[in-house]
Amino acid sequence: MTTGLRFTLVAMLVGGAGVAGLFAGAHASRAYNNSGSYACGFPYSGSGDISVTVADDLFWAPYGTYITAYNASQNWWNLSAQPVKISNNAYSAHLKLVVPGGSSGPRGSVDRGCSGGFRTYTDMRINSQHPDNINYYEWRQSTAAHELGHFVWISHSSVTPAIMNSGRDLSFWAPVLDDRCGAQSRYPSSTYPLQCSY
Amino acid sequence: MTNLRSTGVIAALALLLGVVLGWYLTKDPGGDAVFTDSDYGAPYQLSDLVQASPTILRGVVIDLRESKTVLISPVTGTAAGERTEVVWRVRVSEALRGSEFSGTDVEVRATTQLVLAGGDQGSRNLQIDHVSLDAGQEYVLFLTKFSEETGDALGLNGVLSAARVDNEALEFMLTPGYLAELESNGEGLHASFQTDLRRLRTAVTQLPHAPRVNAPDPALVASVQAIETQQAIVAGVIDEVRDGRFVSARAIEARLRELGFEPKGLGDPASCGAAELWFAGYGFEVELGCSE
Repeated sequence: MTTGLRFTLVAMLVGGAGVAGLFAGAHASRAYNNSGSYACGFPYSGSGDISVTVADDLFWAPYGTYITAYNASQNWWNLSAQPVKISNNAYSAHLKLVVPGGSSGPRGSVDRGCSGGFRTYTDMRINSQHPDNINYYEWRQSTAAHELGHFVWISHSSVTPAIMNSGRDLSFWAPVLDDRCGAQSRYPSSTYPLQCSY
Repeated sequence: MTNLRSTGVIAALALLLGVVLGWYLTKDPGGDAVFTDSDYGAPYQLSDLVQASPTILRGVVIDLRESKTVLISPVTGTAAGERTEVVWRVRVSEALRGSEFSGTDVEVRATTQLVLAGGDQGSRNLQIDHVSLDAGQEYVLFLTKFSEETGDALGLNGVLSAARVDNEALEFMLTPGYLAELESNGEGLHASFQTDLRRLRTAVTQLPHAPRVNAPDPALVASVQAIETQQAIVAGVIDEVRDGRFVSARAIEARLRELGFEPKGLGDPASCGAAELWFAGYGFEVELGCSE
């Protein structure tokens, strides 16, 4: 084998290792499973609050107890997940919807529109035909709280308990420590430092 | 020497390619994009699914068709979208639960697409994650009545609710989104879903239809509602603080008392402390009695 060929092979191995290393870094083990939930947050300076607004969709606004569920969930997030503060504003580009998505659709879902890595609009949807949401007010609130977590920009968690865990039960209907730490992993806050063990 | 030099160039290019490829495959997408997250809420074990399903039927799909439904907004009462459903006609050979369907043909509906009108973004076209059932194939279907308009449409009971029958074995079907969710968590279906008709029949006999979760404890509901009332009071006063209506923490505390706020009323000390921090962020050392 010539020196040149050996050099080529070594360089290719190094290049390959670079690729592999970058992959490994991107999939490092962490408390929050961020796959499928890429950059799309709100601008934040690192101190004080992030004030974000939400509006009812024109045609698919929450109704009945879905209003209660969304409002109660907003209150929970506002009282526990600093630095994000969510308030209602009819002119917001971030929308709350309740739509009939079928019995085999997800309980809820969120689309986050992004440009340049930052949020431009949000559609938060609760499926009014999902069996859980039909049958239990508690699930409506749990779904609203979960979708608001995605709105804030937290992804799914495999931790129990966590409102962002898709496999959660109804032991709680609101964000817990894991969710608060999720918020602060996205928006490290000097104003509201939270003690997270991970 | 020339050979060595050109080989070196190739090697350098290979190195560069590795780095560029690695960056490209792992970079955060900075351009315009839409990211979707869904809350699948699938049952963890087969026993959960059996208990949650009011109707469990075995049968062959004899026909399938697509149908469109105009959606009427519950808010405006006007047409505000369109739903595309796939409708499977199933010849029932065995009603494991739901004897009224025994020996009948039933229609099972699943939503595949929503086109919603309105909003600043214009119409929104949503593809709904669902499984595909093939004509001529035998399945066990876990069903529920779900239509909010009439309450009588029969649909799949959640995202994990169809199993292909292969002799006596059952192969549970996953929607593409739910499969991706399981894979991203490094999980698969719980082992209890590796089952067959005999074991399923036993489970259906032993586990009657029951709510997906136990009915909420009335005391817990009352407690949560009380906390929500207190939250609403604090949230309302926070809005007033934001509007600059107070000059001192004592005035804020007086306003909270006036509206019915009670010390420890927020229940969770962490939430209470966080609310105090929020007031502190505006320069007011408000005492909410978190640790009393």
